[in-house]
Amino acid sequence: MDAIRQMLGREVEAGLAACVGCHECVRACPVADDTVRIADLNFATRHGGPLAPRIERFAVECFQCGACVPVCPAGLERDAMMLQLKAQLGRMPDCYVDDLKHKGGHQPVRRQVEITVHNLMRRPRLKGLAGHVDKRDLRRTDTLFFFGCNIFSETGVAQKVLALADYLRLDYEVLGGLRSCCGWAHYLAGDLERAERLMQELHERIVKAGPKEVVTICAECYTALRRMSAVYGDGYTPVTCTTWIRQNLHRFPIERLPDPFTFHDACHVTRKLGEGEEARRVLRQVGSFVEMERHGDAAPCCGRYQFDANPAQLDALRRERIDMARRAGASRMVVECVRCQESYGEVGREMGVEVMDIVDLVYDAIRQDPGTAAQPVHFGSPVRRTNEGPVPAEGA
Amino acid sequence: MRYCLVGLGPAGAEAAAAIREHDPEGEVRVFSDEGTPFYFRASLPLYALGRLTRDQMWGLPDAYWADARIERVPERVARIDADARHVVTERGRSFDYDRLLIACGTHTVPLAIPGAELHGVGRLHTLADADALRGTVEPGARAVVLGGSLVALAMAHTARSAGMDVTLLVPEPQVGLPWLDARGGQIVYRRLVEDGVEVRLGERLAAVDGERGRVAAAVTAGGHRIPCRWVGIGLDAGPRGGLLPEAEDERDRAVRVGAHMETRLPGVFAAGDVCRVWDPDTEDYQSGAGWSTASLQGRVAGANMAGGAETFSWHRYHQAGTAYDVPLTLMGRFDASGDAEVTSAPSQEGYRRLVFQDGRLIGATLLGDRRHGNLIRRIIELGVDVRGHELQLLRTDVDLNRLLRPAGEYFLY
Repeated sequence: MDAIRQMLGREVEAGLAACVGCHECVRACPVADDTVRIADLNFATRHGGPLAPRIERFAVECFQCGACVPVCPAGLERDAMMLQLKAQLGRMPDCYVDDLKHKGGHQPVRRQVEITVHNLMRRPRLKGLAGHVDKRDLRRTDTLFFFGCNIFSETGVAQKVLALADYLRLDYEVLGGLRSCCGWAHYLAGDLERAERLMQELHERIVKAGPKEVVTICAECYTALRRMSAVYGDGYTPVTCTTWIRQNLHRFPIERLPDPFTFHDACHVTRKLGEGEEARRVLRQVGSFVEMERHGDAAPCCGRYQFDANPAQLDALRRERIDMARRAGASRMVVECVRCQESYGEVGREMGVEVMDIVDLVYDAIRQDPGTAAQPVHFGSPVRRTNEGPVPAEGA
Repeated sequence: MRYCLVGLGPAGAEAAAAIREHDPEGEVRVFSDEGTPFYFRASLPLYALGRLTRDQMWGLPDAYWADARIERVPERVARIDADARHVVTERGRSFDYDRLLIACGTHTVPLAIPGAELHGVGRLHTLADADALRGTVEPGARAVVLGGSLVALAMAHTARSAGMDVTLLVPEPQVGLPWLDARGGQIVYRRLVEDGVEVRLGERLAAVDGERGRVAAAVTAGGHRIPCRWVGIGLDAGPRGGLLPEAEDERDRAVRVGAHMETRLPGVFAAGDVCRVWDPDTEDYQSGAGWSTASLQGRVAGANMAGGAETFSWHRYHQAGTAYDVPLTLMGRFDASGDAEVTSAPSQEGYRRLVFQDGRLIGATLLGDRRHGNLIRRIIELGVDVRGHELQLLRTDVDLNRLLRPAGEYFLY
C-alpha cells in the first residue's frame, strides 16, 4: 500500500545527495520567492518535523507543475522533493481537504450521503451520462472512456468526446464519478496512501472490463492510468483524448477553422510525460495554430493543484497566461485537460480569450454537428446492457 | 562514542548527519581548514559569476550545527595516530576518537611554471578561489583556461558566461577525459566552438606573463603568446592523502577502503574523493567519487561508524552535472566494457552509451538529453534483467516503466 511513499523517500534521498545547491529550481518556480534557500528546503525535506513558516507556505502553494525539473543541472526531481514536503505537512491544509474530501470510495457515512446528494443534484446537467456514474459492472469493450470526477465538469467535454465516438460508431464503455476517482489529486496533495489505494481499486475495476485502451480527458487521470498500467499490470493502454482524436482525425470531415488559435500545454502531458507534440499534430490539421511565447516544456501551469491556497497568486498567473495567448494573436486558447479549461475559463472570458478543449475545437471543425450526425447517440442512452452489440449503422 | 571527521565536503557532511541519526548521544567533531560551514562546492562557478549569494552557498541551515550538536573545528589536521586513536591539528591541539573518517577530498596540483603566482591566475576549488575570481572577471577581456576536465569546462563556461573571450588549452587530444569517450568529447568540443570558445587540443601552458603583478598573457608550450587577463587552472586534482600512509594506495595516496567504507585500520573509515573503494568487478580499488557519490559514500560510512552495516557498490555511482553547458549524467560502471554495449548515433545535442553485463544494465552515459535518467539509474541499481530491451533503453520516447514492474516502481520522467 505504501509503494509510492517508499519509492518517493528513496528518490528524494538520492536527490538530496546529488543537489548542488544552484537554486535554479527555485528561480524557475512560479510560486517560490527569493527568500527560499535550498539548504533550508533540503533539510526540511529530509527531516520533516515542524516546518519554518516560509517553507510550509511554499510546500502548500507548490502545485507540482514540474517547472523545476528541466532546469536542474543535476537532473533532480525537485517536484518529488516538494511532494515529500507536502506529505510531511503536519495537517493537510483546509483548502486541500475541501477539494478532496468527496473523491474516492470508502468514505464515512456522512460523506457518502453528501456524495449521493451531489450526484442527484448534478444528474439533470449530466445530459445522459448519469447512468455511468460510479457504476459497478462495466461492459467488456475495447474502448473505455474514463472521466473520473470530470464526468461532472460543466465544460461539457465528456459529452462532446462521446458524441465524436458515436459519430464514428464506436462500441465503448464509460466510467466516471467521485467514487471512481483516479487518486492523482490525492497524490499531488501529498496524501500518498490514499492515492495508492484509489489507483489500485480503479485498476481492478478497469481490468475486469478488459478494455484495450482507456481514454481520458484529464492530464492527471491520464498520468494515474499510466502509472496504474505500468505498476499493477498490463492489459490496457491509457490514451489521452488528444491521442485518440489524432488517431481518428482522418475519419472526421474536418473543415479548417479560419481564426488563429493557440495551445496551452498540460504540465503532466508535455513536461512530465513528453507527449506535447500529439496535440500539435492535431491542431495543425484543424486550423491556424500559433504558439505562445512560453510553450512546450517551458509552458506555465494553470495551478489547479494548488487547491486555491493562494487565489490572488493563481489569478495573477492565469491572467499572465491569457495575456500570452492574446499577444500570440489568438482569440482561442486550446487546452487538452479539463482541469486547465476550468482553471483558465473565467479569466479567459474576462480578457476576451475563449478557452476550449481540443475536443471542442475538433467538434467545431467538423462540417456537420456530430451530436446529430450519428443516430442513436450512444452516451445519451441509459446504461447499456451487458454484452450489447456495437452501435447500429446509420439508418439501421 | 567519540567521532572525528576530517573534511567538510559532501562526504563529511553526510557522514556527520548519518552518525547523528544513528547515535543521538555521540560526540561528533568535524575538522575543516577552510573555516566555512559545509557549502555547495559544485556551485562555485555560479557563485563566482554572482548568480548565487554567499548565504545561498551554505549546504545546511545556519542552526544545524548547534541543533545537531556537531562541533566544527576550523583547523587543518596535521597528523593522525591510529594506534593511540587521536588526531592532532596544525595548532597542536589533540582530539581522541573512537571512530575516524577521512573525507578531506582532493588537493590542487601546484602549477610549477613561471608566473603562477600572478594576480589573475586562479582555480575554482574553494570558496576563497571563487571570491578571488569574482574580483578578476572582466567582460570583454580574454580568459585562458588550462585543462580539458569537467572542472576546466566549468571554468571556461563561467568565464564565457561572464562575457569574457575564452581560450581553452587542453593537454589531452580531446576534452572531457576521463569522463567522456571520443564521441562524447567531440560533441562537447562542437558545443564549445559553437559558443565561441577557442579550443586548442594537445596544448600545454608553459608560462604566464605579467605586468605590475597581474596576468598579461599566457604562453603555451608551443610558443604561442595569448594576451589575457585571467588564467584558470582546471587540472584535475588528486586525492588529498598523506594522513594515513599505512592505509593509502601507492599510486596516488588515496585511502583504501572496502565496501563498508572502512580502512584496514580499526575504527578508521574514508569516503569521497580522498579514497579508493574496492571494486569486486575489476578486483581493484577504484577512485573518482564526485559530488553525489561522495555524499552517498559519506552516508554509508557515517552509518557504519555508528554501528550500521551498510554497503557501497560502484553500481550506485552517480554523477550529474554539465560538460561546459551540455547536461551530462554518468551512472554505475559507465566506463566499463561489459559484454555488450549500445550507443545512440551521436548528434549535435548529445548521445547515450549503455553498458550491459549478463543481460543487465551496469552503466550509462547520458550526454545532452538526460530524460529517463533516474529510471535508468534505478534499473542499474536493481540489476533488472533487460535482455531484449537494450535498444529501447536508448530511446526517450518510449515508456520504460514496465521494466520496473517487478519492483512495483514507476517514474514520471
